Amino acid sequence: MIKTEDLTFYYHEYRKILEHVSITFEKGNLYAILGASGCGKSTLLSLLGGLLTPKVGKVLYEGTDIAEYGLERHRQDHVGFIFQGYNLIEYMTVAENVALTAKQSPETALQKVGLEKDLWKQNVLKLSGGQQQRVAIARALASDKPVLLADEPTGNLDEDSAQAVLDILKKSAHEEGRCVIMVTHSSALAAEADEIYRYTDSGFQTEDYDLAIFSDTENVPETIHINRNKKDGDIHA
Amino acid sequence: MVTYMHNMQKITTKALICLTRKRKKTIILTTVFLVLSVTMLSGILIYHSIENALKELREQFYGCINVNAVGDENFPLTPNLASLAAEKIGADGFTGVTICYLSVENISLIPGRFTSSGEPAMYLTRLNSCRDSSLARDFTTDALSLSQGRHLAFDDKGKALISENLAEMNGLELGDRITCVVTDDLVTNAKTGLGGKYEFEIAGIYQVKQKQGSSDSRAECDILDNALYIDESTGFQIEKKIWNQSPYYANGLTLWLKDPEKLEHAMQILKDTPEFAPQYYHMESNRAEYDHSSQPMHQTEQILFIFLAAISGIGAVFLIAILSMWNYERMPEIGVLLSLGLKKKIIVLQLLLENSILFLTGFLMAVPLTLLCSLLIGNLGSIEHIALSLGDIFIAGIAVWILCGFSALLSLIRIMKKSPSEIVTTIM
Repeated sequence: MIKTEDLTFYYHEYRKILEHVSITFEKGNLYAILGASGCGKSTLLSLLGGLLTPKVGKVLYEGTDIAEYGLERHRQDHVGFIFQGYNLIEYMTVAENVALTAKQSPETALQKVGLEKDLWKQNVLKLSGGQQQRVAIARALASDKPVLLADEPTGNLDEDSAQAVLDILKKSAHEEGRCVIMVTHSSALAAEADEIYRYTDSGFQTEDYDLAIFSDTENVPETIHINRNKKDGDIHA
Repeated sequence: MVTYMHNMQKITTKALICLTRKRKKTIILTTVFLVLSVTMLSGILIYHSIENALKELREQFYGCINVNAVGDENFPLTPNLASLAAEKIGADGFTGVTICYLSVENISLIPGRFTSSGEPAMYLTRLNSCRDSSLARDFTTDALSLSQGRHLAFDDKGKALISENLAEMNGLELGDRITCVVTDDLVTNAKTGLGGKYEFEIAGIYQVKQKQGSSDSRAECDILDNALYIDESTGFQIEKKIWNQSPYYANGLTLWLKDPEKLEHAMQILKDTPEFAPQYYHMESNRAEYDHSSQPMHQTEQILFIFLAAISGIGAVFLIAILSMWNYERMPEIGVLLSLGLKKKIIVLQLLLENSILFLTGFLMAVPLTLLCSLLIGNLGSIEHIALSLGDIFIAGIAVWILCGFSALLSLIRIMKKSPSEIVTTIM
């Protein structure tokens, strides 16, 4: 669906942020991208979303270079963003935020994320973090884009809210056939993805094996088997 | 077209939501636009008042070119020559003057130097023969002003204007008659036609506005109140009788132009006309007097223009500063909108629309406020011509709107020069 081909990006040539990255993301899957802070995870999302232009290589959507398609049009037609800081328009209500670029009914999107109806006309700043993130997801869902790019979507949320958000993202990928790409620090969260890409010194690597990187994380079992392209029920520890 | 309308509706809705929710900023910016609009409108109001006053001054002042023959009687200023000159320069009117001195027969003059000694000159007065008395110099300079009846016109015969004082002293009214006689006098210098009588019906009565001081030492014929204005036809008749000459304007020709600004050009045209060769005719205009009178107003006009330009400049800088600050604050919002796929031009359009709505609100409040102020100032200061036309309001509106749009665009340049990723970085 969306893939990078030999992607290289840098702000200064002597310090490359991404180098020769080739990854493919398919629809109907939830992907997790893991890596240390500043390793280039968010940059990869920006490149996939057409906010940045690769220095070398290209991003292809359904086989077409997004640069040829037009980055603005690519953002308009193909990708929706979900940010760690929610990034809602602070002076608008829940419904108005969702309606900003809605192609689907904003109400349906709000129902999908399970936001109570009595909150819809409230100013977004009056909502909790979890609720705000659900509004942000509803906004992305309402714009009806096939690819969702989520940058640390649960970074500011408590465990329950984080799980709720993750469930929505999974549902969006598995039931609505979207390609959901999520950048996260949380190995536990990543564990729920269909496929994990981890950024290492030698670049992005698919993790379809016992994850050594989880071994130093308290709440995560030492070995997790993630099977590529498996749905919820297929993930097992 | 449907998509365009739909987009515009969405942009307008978003702009209105922003303005109604960010009330503090809306109020501050509307106030800024209000002040700017009031200043602009007031400036235009005063500017137009000065322009109108200058126009009135020009119309009251009347530009004139005086033409006099240079001593040689072979080149008299005939009515034909006067018509030619008027045609050449497109004069709004002209009047030739012939002065002669005749004695009044059935009335007494305002006493002067000769009345006490009882000399015959006590009856002698000056008759100003003119083609159109309204254009006579004393009337255009407001030394005299018609208070009753009418002015003398080109086709009048046997008509005269007399002063209020002379009429009152002799119990004369409009329609009464005065008789004048050609006497043998040095002043009259009559060659023939002595004893000839000329009767005039009083067509108008004028008021002498120019103070002349004591009349005791002045000859009766030099007292303004004693002067008679007579029609050209009778004037030429007297001229022919006593000097045996074809009609001509012995005391010069005055060509009038409503707009004194055209005087220099008109003078040049006359000088370039062969019939008015400078060696035979002397010409002068009252342009210097006009310039002298209008100079303070021209200076005020220039100062006001500079003031308006300065206000526009300072206003623009102030607006750019405020809008830059506020628009920069909205960078995260712009980032979100860009990431949602909104085009830069749509975002710019929304910000411009927000500013335009606030400008329109401020401007619509400024119009009645300025009109009210102008009425108050006009009434308090008894100042005429303080009024705003629809055209003025429209021009001021467009000018301030362009200023606001320009300021808003400049304030956005800093943001719009950034790439989407740079803007979105602020939110990631």
